[in-house]
Amino acid sequence: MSFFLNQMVIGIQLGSQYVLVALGLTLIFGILDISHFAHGHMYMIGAYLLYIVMVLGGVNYWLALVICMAALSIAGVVVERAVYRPLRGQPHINSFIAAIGLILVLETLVRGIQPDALRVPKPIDKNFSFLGINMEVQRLIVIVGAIVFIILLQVFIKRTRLGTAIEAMSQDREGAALVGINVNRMSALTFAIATALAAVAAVFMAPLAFVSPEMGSVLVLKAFVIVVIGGLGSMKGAILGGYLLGILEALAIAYISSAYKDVFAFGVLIIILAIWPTGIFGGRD
Amino acid sequence: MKKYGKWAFYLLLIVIVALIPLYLNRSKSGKYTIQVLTMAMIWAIATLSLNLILGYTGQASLAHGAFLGIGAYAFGIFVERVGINIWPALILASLITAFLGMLVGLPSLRTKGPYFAIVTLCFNVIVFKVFENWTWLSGGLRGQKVTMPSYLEARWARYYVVLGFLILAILIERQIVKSLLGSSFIAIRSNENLSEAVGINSFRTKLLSFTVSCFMVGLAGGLFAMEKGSLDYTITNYMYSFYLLIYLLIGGAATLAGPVVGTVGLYFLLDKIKGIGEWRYFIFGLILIVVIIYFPRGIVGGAKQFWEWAKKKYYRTGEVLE
Amino acid sequence: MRLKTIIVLTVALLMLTLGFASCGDGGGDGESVVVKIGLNAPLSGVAAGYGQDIQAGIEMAINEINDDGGIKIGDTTYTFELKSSDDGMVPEQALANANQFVLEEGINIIWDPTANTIGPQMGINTKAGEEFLIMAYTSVPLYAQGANPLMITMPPPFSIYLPEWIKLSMGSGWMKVGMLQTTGAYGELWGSTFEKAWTGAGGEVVAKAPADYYTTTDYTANLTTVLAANPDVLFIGGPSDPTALVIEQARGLGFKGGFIVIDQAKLDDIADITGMEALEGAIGVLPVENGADFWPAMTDFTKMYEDEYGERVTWETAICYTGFMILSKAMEAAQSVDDVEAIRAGFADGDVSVTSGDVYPVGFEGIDDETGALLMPGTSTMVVDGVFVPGEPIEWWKL
Repeated sequence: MSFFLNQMVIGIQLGSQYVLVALGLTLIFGILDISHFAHGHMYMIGAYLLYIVMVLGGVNYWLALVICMAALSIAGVVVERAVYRPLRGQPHINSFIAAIGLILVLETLVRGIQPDALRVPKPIDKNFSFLGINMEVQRLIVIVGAIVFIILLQVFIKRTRLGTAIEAMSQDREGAALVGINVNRMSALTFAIATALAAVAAVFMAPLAFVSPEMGSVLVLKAFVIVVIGGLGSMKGAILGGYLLGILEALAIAYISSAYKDVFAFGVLIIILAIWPTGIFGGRD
Repeated sequence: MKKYGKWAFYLLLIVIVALIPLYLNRSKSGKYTIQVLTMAMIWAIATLSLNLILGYTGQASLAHGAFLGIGAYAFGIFVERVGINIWPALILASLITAFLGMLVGLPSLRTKGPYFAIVTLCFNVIVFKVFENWTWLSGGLRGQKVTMPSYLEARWARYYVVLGFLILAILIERQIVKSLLGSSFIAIRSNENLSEAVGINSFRTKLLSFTVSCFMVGLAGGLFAMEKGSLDYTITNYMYSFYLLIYLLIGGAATLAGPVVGTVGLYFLLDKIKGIGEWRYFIFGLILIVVIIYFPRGIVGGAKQFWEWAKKKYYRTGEVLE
Repeated sequence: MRLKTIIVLTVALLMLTLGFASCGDGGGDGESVVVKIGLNAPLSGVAAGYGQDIQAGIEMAINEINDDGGIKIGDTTYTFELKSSDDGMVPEQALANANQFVLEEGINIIWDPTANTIGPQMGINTKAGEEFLIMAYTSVPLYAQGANPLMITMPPPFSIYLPEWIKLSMGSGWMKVGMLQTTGAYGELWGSTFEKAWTGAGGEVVAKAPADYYTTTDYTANLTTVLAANPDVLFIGGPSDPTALVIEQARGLGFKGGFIVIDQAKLDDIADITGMEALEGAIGVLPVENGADFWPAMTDFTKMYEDEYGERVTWETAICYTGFMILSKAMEAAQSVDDVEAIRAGFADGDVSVTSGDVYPVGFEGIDDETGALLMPGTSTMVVDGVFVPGEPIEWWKL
């Protein structure tokens, strides 16, 4: 029983990073209709930023979190402005190709500058035991931190004027433009928020793993699976789907086969979409 | 008269392409170029197959890398483990790929737009993972050997085989596109709901397009196995799906020349700049972004546009002169 | 119509000229005294560092030979030049590179350090008129068992470590193993070879949860699965960096036992990341610097490498450096730099393949002429009280 509980907690922790990355993706998709496939690589840039700020710059971990979020939201705006805005109105597949181009550029650039994998120290390098579960404190930070940022995002969307504008736009773009919402400003804002969330995920996860140029490529695939299962543009779907995939993976490793875990994760997606062609929460077409 | 001119031009082009190996085969480095061109033509067949489902029918399949690998492995296994002659094996491999494509299409084509892209991408990841881990199927570390009959040992022989299939693929695709079926493909691409309203069963039409497309990419896979002489799991990598997409969109989707020009051009270029190491992907990525922003219709689409523009300008100035 | 025709024709012509231009420079003149050697290795992507270590070893050997005036065969002096091509560990790409080397560059000796790319090249390297000798840097046993008449393998096959490692492990009272090595054909081969030897020696495999070391960033779910079965020792390994992460996370989960680390991972690189304390009880291949215990010249070689490249040397570099020296001697023995069959035979000519540990960083003790495997003793180690304790050199060809 404690083993099952243990796997569940690990699944939730795995799911936490998925949720943070998937939320950004689903926001971008809902509002801009873009499959931002380079989102995982923005996450990777976030982890390298953490290394620069915290390890090279000697800044405190929590302050580094804020700096990385700020810096990456600017990077997100730049990407939106330079790559995606000129493509607005083009077929969906064109922005996908641009995203692949962006992936190639970012990954080779980072590897060209720093070919070796890097380590970031944990802010609290301790373990804790609870109900027979033994794990690093950092994992608790990931789980709790993700919940905090999910709540913050919800509060922002539901309670602030900018947030409601974003929500309005994700539900009806033309209508939003008609009532005077500035589409360009909203696009930039969405990218800023989404990329900042990727920075949060990167800062939380980096101390547990290696910082490497390819760290985002598998993650973004999974985040896309989550976004699609939940329904493109649905935040509720992204949150639920993220935790679900994390738990599914942890349990698949324990009870089915670790080598084929991705086969199960992606297989479940195909089955779900065969039943609900626009995701469980029926996102936009 | 005009029509004959067009056919004469195509015939001339084919003759030139058919003469290339005669010149190149004289030197060793020329033989390498033959090999590069052969591979480029195989990829061109695969890109043509993607053109059918994405370019004409408007469904962005990201599983064509997987189907290429499936076709290649089916061919390799038929030839090497079952011991069938290569020509029936090639047809069987294409048929199997088409059948699997239909099975995948049944659930996935119910979804639309980006959902379809992601579902097919997930299928590709699944196939990749299965080939990576199931070593009995993939042949493990040393991969799956594919022995060719002696008459295909020379590179130029395989060049002509592939060239023949490429021409066949172009002709078939041309026939499909010009037929009533092709019109329904294009109708679905431009507006699926509207096409339903005029009596097209969009699901069945899409499924047909996808199945034919998979048949073609399976054929490309078989030729790939024939050219390489050995296979391993990396052939099912989803990166190849991305590459096909790039070849197609850079060349020009929904044109017949686009896939061929884009694939052969880019493949040749990437082979030539191999020497500059990893930075070639950096340059490649930049080119991709710039091309997709400024020339969204690709090389051939852009050239057509330019041609229309030049014609208009030419005739207008002509009128003024008169 | 005419404009269109002109445009399309120009494009076709352009392609043609490109094709012709590319074959103009390849021919090469037979009188040249520079011998080109090909390297087919991952020079980009996740395994780039590994490919660069191989490259460094060959380059050091080439520079040294060239600085000494090259090798003399008859009246001609030959110097060497390394041509590297990136295959990204993709066999299809490796095949294309090999063909380019042979056909465009006139190369007939190709170095390759990855097991999955060597296999396909073995299918083309004996083709008449396009022969090339594969210098294989791989420990996969099936390659060292003489699969190809034009291939030399350099490091010892990995299976030879198993009896020693199992003895060390069971000597510590560890009978229950949990397996968490990398996935894919290489990891599976290692895993099945290990499992057979382990159960054959009376041990028990209590859990298996292999992970893809190239894409996984968090191994906790795999580790908790394996650790739930209470193993005494973990069988792990892939590239060094993720292996270090596995060890660190295993310790983080409270695992106190030992590790059996497959030869792809380097214990010294792991120690840099985890520290020696976490490595206590780890069994694997001896760190390269400790090779000086057997081969004194390793000390100088290590210093020389550090001065030139600014980082610690690896076994890859040391073995490829020595391997190249043997290759040059084999050429002298064969009295040829391009007759690959004669060069291959040259390796078995007298003491060509024997390198003294006083002169070279690795002491090869000859070649198995049947299989083309150079005979390098295996060097294993176990971390005891924070120190790498070397085992006896394993002279596997005598077993």
